[in-house]
Amino acid sequence: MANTADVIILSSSPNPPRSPGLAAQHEIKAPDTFPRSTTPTPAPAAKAKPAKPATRSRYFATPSAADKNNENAKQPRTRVSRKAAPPNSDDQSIASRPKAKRTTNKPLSIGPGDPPVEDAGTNTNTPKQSKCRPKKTAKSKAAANMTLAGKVTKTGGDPPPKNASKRAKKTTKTDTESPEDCTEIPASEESNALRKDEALHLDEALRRRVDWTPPRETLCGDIAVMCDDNSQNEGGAGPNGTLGFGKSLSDYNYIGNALNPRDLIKKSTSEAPTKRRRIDLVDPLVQPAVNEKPDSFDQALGQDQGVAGKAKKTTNSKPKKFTTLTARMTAQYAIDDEQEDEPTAEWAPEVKPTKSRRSKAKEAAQDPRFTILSPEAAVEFVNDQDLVFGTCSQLEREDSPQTMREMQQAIRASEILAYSEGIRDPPNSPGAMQGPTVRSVSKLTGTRNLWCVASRDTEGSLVQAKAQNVIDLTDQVESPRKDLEKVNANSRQTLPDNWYEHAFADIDPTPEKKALPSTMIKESSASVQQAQVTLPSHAPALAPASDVKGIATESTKGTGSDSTEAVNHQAVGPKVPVMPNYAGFTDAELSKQVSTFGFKAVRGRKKMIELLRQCWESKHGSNTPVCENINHTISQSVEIPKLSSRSKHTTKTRPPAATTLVEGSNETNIAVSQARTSIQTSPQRQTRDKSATSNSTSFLDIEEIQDSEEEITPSPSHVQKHHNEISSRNKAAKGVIKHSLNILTKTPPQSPTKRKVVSSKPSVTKKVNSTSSTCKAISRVSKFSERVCLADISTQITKAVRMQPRSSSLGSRIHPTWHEKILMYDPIVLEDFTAWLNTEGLGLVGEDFEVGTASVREWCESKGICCCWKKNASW
Amino acid sequence: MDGPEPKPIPAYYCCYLLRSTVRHASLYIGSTPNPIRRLSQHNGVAKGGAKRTARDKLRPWEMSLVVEGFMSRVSALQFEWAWQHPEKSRHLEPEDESKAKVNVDPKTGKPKAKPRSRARRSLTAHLEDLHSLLRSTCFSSGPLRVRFFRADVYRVWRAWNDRVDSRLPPNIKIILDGDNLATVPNAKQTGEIEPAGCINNLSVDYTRLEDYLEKSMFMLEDPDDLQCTVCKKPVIPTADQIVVCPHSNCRGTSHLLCLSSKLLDATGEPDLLVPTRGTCPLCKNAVQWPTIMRELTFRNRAEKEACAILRKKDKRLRKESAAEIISAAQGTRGTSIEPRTQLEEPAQDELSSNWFEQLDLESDSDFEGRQKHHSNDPPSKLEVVIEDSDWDDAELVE
Repeated sequence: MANTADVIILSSSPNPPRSPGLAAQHEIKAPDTFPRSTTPTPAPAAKAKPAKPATRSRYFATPSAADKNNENAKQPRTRVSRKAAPPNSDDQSIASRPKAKRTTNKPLSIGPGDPPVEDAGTNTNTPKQSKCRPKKTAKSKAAANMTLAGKVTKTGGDPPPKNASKRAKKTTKTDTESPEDCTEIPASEESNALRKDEALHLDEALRRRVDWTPPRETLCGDIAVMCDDNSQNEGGAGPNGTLGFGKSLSDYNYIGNALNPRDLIKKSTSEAPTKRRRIDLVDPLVQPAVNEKPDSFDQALGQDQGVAGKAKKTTNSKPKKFTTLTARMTAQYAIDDEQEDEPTAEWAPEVKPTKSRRSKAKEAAQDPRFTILSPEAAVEFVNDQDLVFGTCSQLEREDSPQTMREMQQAIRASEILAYSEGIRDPPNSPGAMQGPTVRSVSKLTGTRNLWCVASRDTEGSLVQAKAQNVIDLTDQVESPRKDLEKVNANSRQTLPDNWYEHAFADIDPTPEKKALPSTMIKESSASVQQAQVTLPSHAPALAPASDVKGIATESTKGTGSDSTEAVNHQAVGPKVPVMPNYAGFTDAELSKQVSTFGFKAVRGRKKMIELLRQCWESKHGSNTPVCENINHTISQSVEIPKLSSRSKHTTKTRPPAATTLVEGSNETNIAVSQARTSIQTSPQRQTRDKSATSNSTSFLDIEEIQDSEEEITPSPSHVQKHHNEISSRNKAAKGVIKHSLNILTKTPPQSPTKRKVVSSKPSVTKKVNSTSSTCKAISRVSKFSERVCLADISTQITKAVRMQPRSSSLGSRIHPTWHEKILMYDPIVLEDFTAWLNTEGLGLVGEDFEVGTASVREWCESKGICCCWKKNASW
Repeated sequence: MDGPEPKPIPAYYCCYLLRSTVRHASLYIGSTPNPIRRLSQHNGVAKGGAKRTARDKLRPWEMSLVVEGFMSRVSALQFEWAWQHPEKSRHLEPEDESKAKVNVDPKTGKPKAKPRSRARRSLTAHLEDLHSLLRSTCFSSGPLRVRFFRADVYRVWRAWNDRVDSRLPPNIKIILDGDNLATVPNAKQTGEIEPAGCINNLSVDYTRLEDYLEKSMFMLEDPDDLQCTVCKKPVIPTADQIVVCPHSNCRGTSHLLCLSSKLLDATGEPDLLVPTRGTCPLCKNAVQWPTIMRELTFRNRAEKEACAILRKKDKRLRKESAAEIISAAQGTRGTSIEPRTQLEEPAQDELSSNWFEQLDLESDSDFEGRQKHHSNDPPSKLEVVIEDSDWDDAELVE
């Protein structure tokens, strides 16, 4: 009912120029401040009054009496409510109710010139309006909470006082008549005693019925009306008005379903309606186009909440964002993220992470401008955008887009620092913006979960701290933006921004943001770009690396944590050569590892360890150069930024570290390959370990921190992984590793910030990403290498088996050769056979690589040879 | 083969698809070296049936088809497991690769466990799995045979075969048996590949090897004048793996590797490691590699049992020659069983693995097999069954 009525009003409302809307908005802003409304009201009210009775009289038989009665009833109210208003008592009395205010408002803004015309128009419209009005009045009653006392509130038992104020505005727009109606309506409501108004009572009763159950609906309707009014009033708002109408309908449907708990919460939390109102009014004016589309969505949200102004703002920002399933899912965690971020920021005062995040959020809010992209830009974004595949839950696990962005920004900043110092290329290289950073960001999209937090705690690693640091860096760089954004953000709600980020994190926000900051802080952005650009230039290998990146991105993209992978690669690179200390793994980890190698779970810890060793050895030996190169390039690209970011924090260490890293990476392709292998084994851990354990020298502090974190939330597997990785890393002593280690070591000084940061999202995201994505990547890599190797291995094994000399001395009957066993259909014990192959068999063929039981089993099965594990060998 | 002495190739090992005659939708996959005994267990005639088949409502069960020809217990068990758990088996993965990719668990990156197998898998589903298993790299090269005892099951199989693009490898033979046959074949004269008429007529022991075994043992008792037909070097049966031509009138002996390499070379497939058949270098007759290996392993790894079999054969022959009455034969059989078991038990290094051997050996005696077919002796069977039951259960667990 209310909605329909509102809609009608809206249709009528367009007549009043924007000015009324503005005025109404202003009024809305200060709805509580009666003096303002009242002060202007008197004159308009006076104007309105004459019209009012007429209108009613025309449409309703009992307008005058009702008015009188109403006035009488109102006056006491108004008096009570309006302290300053007494002089205007009659008018004020009308005005005292929201509609009256509205009427007054209209006259104020629009009124002077229009009032008569409006009246006429309204009069023509009045029949509808009158119908509508009673409905409105019901709303207004609700609104009355704001303006007047509880009578109105009865109907208003509904939450929407704000709406009421809006409605009042609307009504004002609708014209002077509205106040009358309002007055009448309340009278009717009140007037169960009033006999004349009985007809009105019926209407109201119907409205009440409608209103009773769905206060939200009324809110929605109100909001929609508000928006419409504003838009209509405003010249540019025409579309808005149309949208508003459509919205009201759509909202009506939508409201029921779409109440987002967050929105409600946020809006509910949102401040006093007045402030919101002001903001809303301003915002639509300022950003009409942007707000318009979202309005429907926002309105729905706003309606739900009942906080008109903020709701509108929030809604505006939100609608811009795409509402995907993932976004919805992730949105729930947005608030938490913010909250988390803030505390984290507090924790790390130096870093200023909170600011950055906030600013980011604000930026996101501001982003709506950016949200509307030219088709070309949109296409670019789409192309640049990395696709994140995964279930909602998975996405949730992974880092939030914000964190991703922050990471990227930090990386850029670090790159800038490192590379700019080392090599300053043309500051602004447009291409650099999009390429790697965007990808990484998109990959990492996700919101933080409790799980993430837990994971980070257990893993507690430098990486997290680094990420946080990165954020800080971004904050510094972005600070100007932030200010601007903050201003904008003030108008807009942060929540929608978050939404937007979440939804578009992959696509738009980062580039846009980046672009903004770049403009704002040319140097910083330039430096970042330089860094990106410099990367290829720096390392001859890197130039191909860019290509490689493209290739690598495929693999990495799928995983969703390319950056993490890259980091892992880096970390792994040095570590890789050293075989992980499987003995230190838990059984669960061992089984995981085994599965990673493609084996079924093996019972028995010893067997698993043995298997893993064999697998590792085999893999280690079997890496293909091509893959290595790719990984290498990838790792370099990724590593450098990360390292640089880390170094940034340390600032001093950055340039040398970055250079060393690049050089080292180039130099140590082999190491990279090794790292790859290690990555396969334990990518996630490695990254963390790197940061944490990277090298004992400078990392002592960091390590301690990690340990403490782990202790806080110790997950045995993580801890063990850490230890294993660390041990493996420690074992590995290559020049490259040293370089990386040096860099890493440099970072540790950041420990204080890191500690603070540790709690921050990025670490969590890294962990999560590393777990899922790295596993995938590892599996892929392993598969690839295995496939490559298997063809070779298979033929070589076959050769070896057939070449095994007969053990004439011992007698083949007691010690049959493997071929004889195969010939006799003996089940082949994989462990024994693999051991023989690695010790003798492959040597017979002149191969020095070692095979794992997995590949051996594959070989056996490909030959139709029955094979089994030792434990099952009792045939 | 560090551990216990390797076992000879089982005389018979099969996976079977058990079906309730009362409710055809009730199916059960199992494996056994002795389907005759196993079926009686499933039907409650003997102890040790699987729990799933214990409901009286579903009994009696029938073996609608058996997959036989497994050259090792491990292989059979692997096949059984894969057949029972097609959603988990590696052997079935290649076909489902496309599906598997879709089912990759996003969190772990590992392939998700394929959707839980339907609580009750249909006959068609089982036959599908069987078909793909037989086509899998692991089992396609084996000398497996599928023996259909039920015509309706075979019809389903045929229907599925028509729908499947790929065909079974040629070395896997389909044997129509049971009610697929118009006439009941002579149970005693059936070859390995020929239909037996019913499960009870299956030869699940080393009986077929008797003559072959006797010949080879006799020949190798005095190996002085024997030389490898391939490398022409003297054969030393005590030290080397010496294979003997299965043909009764051929005295060809050769080293295992010599003959295998010769046969493998003949195939022209360098990657092949195990020949499936070939021609004896000496007599030029076609030889089946599995048969040779079965005899070889049995002779080398179960000497006592081999001797026992020969002794039984002698006894049987003597008794037959004596034209003793069946009742008398039964008596002898009863006595014969005990010594066998006694002989076998000391030889058992692995308790677990021995069970089927025992069965095989016991069943090896012609008496038993024939007696089982001819006349049912509950007491003796029961005893045997009891011993087996434990192992059957173990089997199921695996």
